[in-house]
Amino acid sequence: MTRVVILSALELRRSTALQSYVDRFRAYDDVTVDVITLANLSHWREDDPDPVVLDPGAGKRLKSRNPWNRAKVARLTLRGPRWRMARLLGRNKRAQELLRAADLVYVDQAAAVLAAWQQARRQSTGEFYTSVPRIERAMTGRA
Amino acid sequence: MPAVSTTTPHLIYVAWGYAPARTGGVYRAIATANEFARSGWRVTVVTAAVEAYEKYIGVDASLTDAVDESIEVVRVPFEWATQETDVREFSRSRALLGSRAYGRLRSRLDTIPFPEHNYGQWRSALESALDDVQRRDPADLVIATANPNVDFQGAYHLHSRHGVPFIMDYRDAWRLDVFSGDDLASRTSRIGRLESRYIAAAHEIWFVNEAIRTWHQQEYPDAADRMQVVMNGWDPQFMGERVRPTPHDGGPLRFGYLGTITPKVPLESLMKGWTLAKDTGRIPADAVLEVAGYLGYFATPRGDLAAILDAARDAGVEFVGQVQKASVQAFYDRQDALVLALGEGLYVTSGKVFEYVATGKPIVSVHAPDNDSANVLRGYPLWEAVETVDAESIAQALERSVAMITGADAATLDAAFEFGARLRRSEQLAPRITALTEEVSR
Repeated sequence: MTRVVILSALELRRSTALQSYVDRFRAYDDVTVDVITLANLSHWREDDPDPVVLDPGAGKRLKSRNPWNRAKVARLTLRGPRWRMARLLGRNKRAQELLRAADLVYVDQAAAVLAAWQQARRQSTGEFYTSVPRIERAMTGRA
Repeated sequence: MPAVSTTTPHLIYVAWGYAPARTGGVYRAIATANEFARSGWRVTVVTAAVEAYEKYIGVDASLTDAVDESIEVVRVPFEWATQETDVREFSRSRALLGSRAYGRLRSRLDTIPFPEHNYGQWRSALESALDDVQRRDPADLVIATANPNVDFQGAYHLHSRHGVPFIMDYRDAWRLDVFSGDDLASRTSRIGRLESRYIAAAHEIWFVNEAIRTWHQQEYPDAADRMQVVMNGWDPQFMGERVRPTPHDGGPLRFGYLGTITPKVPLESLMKGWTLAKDTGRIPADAVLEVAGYLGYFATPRGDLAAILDAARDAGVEFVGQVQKASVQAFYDRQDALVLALGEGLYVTSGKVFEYVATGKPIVSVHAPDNDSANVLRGYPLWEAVETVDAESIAQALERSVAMITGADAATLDAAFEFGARLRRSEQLAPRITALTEEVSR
């Protein structure tokens, strides 16, 4: 059994792109796929994995008319989504469990790299790649 | 050229991309080294480590079998930090700065030792590997093939430090944009000054076509008489046994495109032209266009190009991805005609035009008429070309090609097959190898 986790910095978008990765990874035998996203995504299909959402309140905050809400302030500083994701990932127990059990982690979006890099230093197991073909090659190697 | 101490001359061949790398110039590199080895030279190829190809550009394992057994291959480690995809290998600065900022910074830093993005940092490792080879087994000649142009620096290093004569083999150009014809760097720039120095010192300078040579002859008139055209050609070791084409058997027409699909290839126009030809009944409804090759230069396929191909799937376009070099013959065998889609440019000669011609099958050119590949194809009996690279013109060319495919008789196919025989790579290399062997043995 190969456990693949998609660690994505996508937020408040359609999940279409992630669905194509889920399908590509599931095309291999004996694979389970889990998804961790920075914020909520829409249009998930019934058979897609339930995503672990690191920042479920992001949607509400961004809709807020208060110009001083934290998400907007974060976007205007160097502490943008990269840092927010890294901080939230370190605190999320469910996400930590998934990543520690994962054989392969696909890091989606440049904004997820810092969180993935810090996580890779926290745990000695699992391979973290930013390339889908590289994940597929690794799965082929395991088969 | 200096006298040599051994009876067997020794060639050091510098090529960043060599078997099993999946890069465009790799076939020329393999074939050149092989031809020298077959002509009695001891050949040492100095190239990048296989892990670099695996990680960054992809490999074609079947290419390793094509390397002559007598050739010694020296692998030099190469790291391409911005193309690294293993997060555990990322440096702290890449993680903290973010990929975009890090990529910009790193790319600048790479040009400090040598003015070439991504490859410049290879200079010191390459030079020390060449020094080792030279100490162990002194060379009579060094050939560097570019790009990457840092290969030239390796050859120049051996020349300036050890007095080894060197040949610059331009598959592309350094200061000239072969697609637009514009200058990429001025004569007085760092690149321009380096190129002037190399060309002044080079024993010979090789180019893949007359247009690029002429440009360089005008830029460097003092070296004009040392500039040679060594055209590409098709390689029997990759093509396998040539199969004489037979007249169309009446089944569904199959068109094929095989080659690396870069953003320079007019893929979108081709798909639009193909779809238009289908929609207007200019090609049969059951006709198929089989597209094969990597999407982009790197190991990670480009999503935008994949989307263009995907959108044309209903019109009978099949994308089959990479074809291992050992399976190329089978790909060509199942096609009735081949589509040669190339980027614009007076100076562009594709390597695949030679393979296409070697098949003896009908060819539909989808590139600007002034592309240098047209010079290779002139006189080929089964050739149709677009007048301009737009959907309507492509559809018209495809329509004409249908008549050409179905109407081609055995005599025409034989003539096309014989035309291809002249364009073997060994035929292009033989005059230079013979001349250099004579010079060395003098």
